[in-house]
Amino acid sequence: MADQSGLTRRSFLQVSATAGGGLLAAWYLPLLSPPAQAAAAAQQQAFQPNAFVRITADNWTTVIVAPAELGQGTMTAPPMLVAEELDADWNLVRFEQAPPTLPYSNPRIVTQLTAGSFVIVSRYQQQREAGAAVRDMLVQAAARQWNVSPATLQTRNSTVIDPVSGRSATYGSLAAAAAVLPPLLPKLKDPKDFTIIGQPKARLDGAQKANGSTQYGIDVYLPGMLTALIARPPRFGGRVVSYDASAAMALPGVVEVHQIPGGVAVVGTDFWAAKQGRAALKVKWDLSTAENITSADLYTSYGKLMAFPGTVRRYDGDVALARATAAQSLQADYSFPYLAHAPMEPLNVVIDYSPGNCEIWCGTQWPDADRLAASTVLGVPADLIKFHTMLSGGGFGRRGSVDNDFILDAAHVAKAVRGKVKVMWTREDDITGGHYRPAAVCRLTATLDQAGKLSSFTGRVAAQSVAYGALPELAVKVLGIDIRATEGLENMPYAVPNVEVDVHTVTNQVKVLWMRSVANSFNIFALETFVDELAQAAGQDPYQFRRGLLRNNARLLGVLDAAAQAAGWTTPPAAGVSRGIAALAGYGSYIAQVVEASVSGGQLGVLRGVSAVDCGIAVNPDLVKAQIESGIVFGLSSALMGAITLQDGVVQQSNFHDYPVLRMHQAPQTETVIVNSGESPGGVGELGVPCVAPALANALYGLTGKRVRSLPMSNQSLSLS
Amino acid sequence: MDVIAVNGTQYQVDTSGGRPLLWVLRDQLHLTGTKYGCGLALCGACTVHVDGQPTRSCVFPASAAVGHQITTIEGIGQTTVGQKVQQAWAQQNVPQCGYCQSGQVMAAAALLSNNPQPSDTDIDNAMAGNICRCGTYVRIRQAIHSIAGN
Ligand code: FES
Ligand code: FES
Repeated sequence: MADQSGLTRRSFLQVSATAGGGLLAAWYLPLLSPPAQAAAAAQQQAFQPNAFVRITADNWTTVIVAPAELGQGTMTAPPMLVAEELDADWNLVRFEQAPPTLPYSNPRIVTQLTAGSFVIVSRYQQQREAGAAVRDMLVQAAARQWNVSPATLQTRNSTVIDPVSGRSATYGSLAAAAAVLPPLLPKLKDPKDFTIIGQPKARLDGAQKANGSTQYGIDVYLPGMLTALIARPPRFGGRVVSYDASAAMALPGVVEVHQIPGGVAVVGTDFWAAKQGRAALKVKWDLSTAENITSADLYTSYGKLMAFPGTVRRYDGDVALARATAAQSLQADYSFPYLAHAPMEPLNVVIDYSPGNCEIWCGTQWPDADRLAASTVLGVPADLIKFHTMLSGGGFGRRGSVDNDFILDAAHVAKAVRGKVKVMWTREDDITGGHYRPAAVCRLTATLDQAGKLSSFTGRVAAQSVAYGALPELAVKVLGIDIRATEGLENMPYAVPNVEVDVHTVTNQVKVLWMRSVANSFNIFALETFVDELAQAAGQDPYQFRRGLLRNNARLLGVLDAAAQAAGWTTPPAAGVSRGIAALAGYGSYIAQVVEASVSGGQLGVLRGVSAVDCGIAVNPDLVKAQIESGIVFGLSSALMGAITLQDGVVQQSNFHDYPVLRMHQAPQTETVIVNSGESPGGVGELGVPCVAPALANALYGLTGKRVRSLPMSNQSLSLS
Repeated sequence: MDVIAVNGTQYQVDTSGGRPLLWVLRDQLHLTGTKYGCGLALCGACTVHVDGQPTRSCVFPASAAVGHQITTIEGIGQTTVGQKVQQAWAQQNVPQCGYCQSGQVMAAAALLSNNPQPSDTDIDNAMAGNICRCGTYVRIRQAIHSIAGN
């Protein structure tokens, strides 16, 4: 963490300098700009000394949350960090979504991207400091009022207490006096004194999400707002030649049709009108240079690349020598389809581009980048666009669009409409709209020496690159998310003296994007099923074989043991039931999962998923568990039934009937054990996804005697009961 | 113009053109708790009650709602069962992104009204039409059992 905190400090100093708070020059937490401060103060007599904390006279604490909420609990965990150090009464804490301005940038990457499971990793220190600093100011204010030394005062439940005299004052009552005091850099608590961090608190947005009152982007309605749907080319790379809108315009409620760079927008008075209008629209497409691949051919061409070396990502020792002296050599090829994120809330953007106003409402993982992209189309400077980041109905990476596709489309529509418009995506638009998890082919090889020890390992991947070049290399490094297609292989955790990993970066016009757990979603499947094959070749139990290769990785070994123990690995499963295991170090965390499955008559039952997780300090252990449960369902959906396929360039799926995802009766029972290593927090949003599929495939081998080498499993006549 | 009854209130609405009830609720009445997820009765996000029966409003013509009692997520909290479901959901951290949860709550409330002690199979049958992409199924099941246990 050393270099990371250095970076944090530096970026904050920059922020303070631009925000220009001479008064608080030594202050390293992002400041509100003076006009914003004045506005906040005027609005509710609020005390808001830094960008993240506001205390009002009614003694409520509002935590302004910078990252986006996609389901992972962002509106709860950062407020817990603030509240802990502030000694706030948790029942008097609420959240507010931050705007896309510089103080709210991720301190690691200086942009407001929510991805890579790094909300807590990157905000743990910052949010605690924000709370501690405010607590310190409140204590100073009370000390002045009572004419005592601040050191003699205590804080508890949003109250400053003088234990000597028995006096107390609420934070709300001290806010005005505290506002004029200079903030210092106070000491943070020792983790043993935590009373909020580590507690399984209920989500602050739980009740509103259970009663339907949460406003997502799709729920924004403005007076006089129109609704638009966009007709997009039937194949990636197609372009509009001409269109005939007469039939569409003849329909009631269809008011405008506009050509935009991405297609043709049909604008109606409501969704239904726009939908009917789009169906009636006739577009002549130029598909002469459009993508025309067919999935089966794509696998063949990727497969051919497996014979040739690619760009080297890791090169340790001498694989050739290990091969020459090997007792056994193994090789396996794996193939993986494109996948759609399919967040439950289809993409949508509301723009008010009226004279004198430019305002955007959007559930996005990357609001500052999206605002900037919109500004280039609308011709309005980014900081004059009022941008509302909405809570999102799922994202999984799709709402962190590297090419800003949905915001650019919407901006073009708004520019043509010159008014208030909601640009919607139907589920069909979502499933056929690209930005998929890339299809991939992997080849893994390994050798065992005379003693049955793993002596070499190679991994080769052919895939499109999701975002290489989209973020500066340095940012990617600092961020710790690896967007490379060899993620999971080049950093594989097992001790092997000779390792080579290389990659073929393939290009075509199918748009790809990071999806939850990115390349780990396929590479860990390949790696962890291959390790089971190696264990078998070495004549060892798969769990014990992994243990032997993880002697120098205490935390991964710790979760492996914990998962095996929780699942009862050493006691045989019930008749007809088989177990598989898999493990992963990633996102600053560690996980091992055991899956129990059964098969009868081609019907597969996924019965139980046991996970052991070491994510360092679990800020909210119940939300950690929820993320693992979520990851299991997400990973199983992909492994069992997820596939986007193309035929002559045309996507063959369109909605949940042919792009199915796991349902209630198909979801396994789950148990999650949190191994508390006491280390700094790691990420958990993606952690539960990669291992569940290989653990399942390893369990299936015990039942079918067949190795799964391509996904989804539904292609191998295994369907879910 | 037709009149439909939603959560006990009568509304004048435009049901023309085969408009599904979902879009009348959302685009005309701005009752936004009922969600669009698929438009083809595949995901359950748009579930409302028509005379107490869970119904996919994305394929239910608004004109067919005339003369029936429609209950949406905005109204279900007025019932004892609905209130219990919503409380259990919040207390047990069921929602993640929350987008599917209006539909899940409506499906669960209908199940529990008809069958106060549902078995796992009953839950599977009643909830199989409601997709949760965030994978909150385990908690939905637990929450339903916890209500049944009270
Ligand atoms: S939107 Fe009605 S079932 Fe999906
Ligand atoms: S909570 Fe996100 S789809 Fe169910």
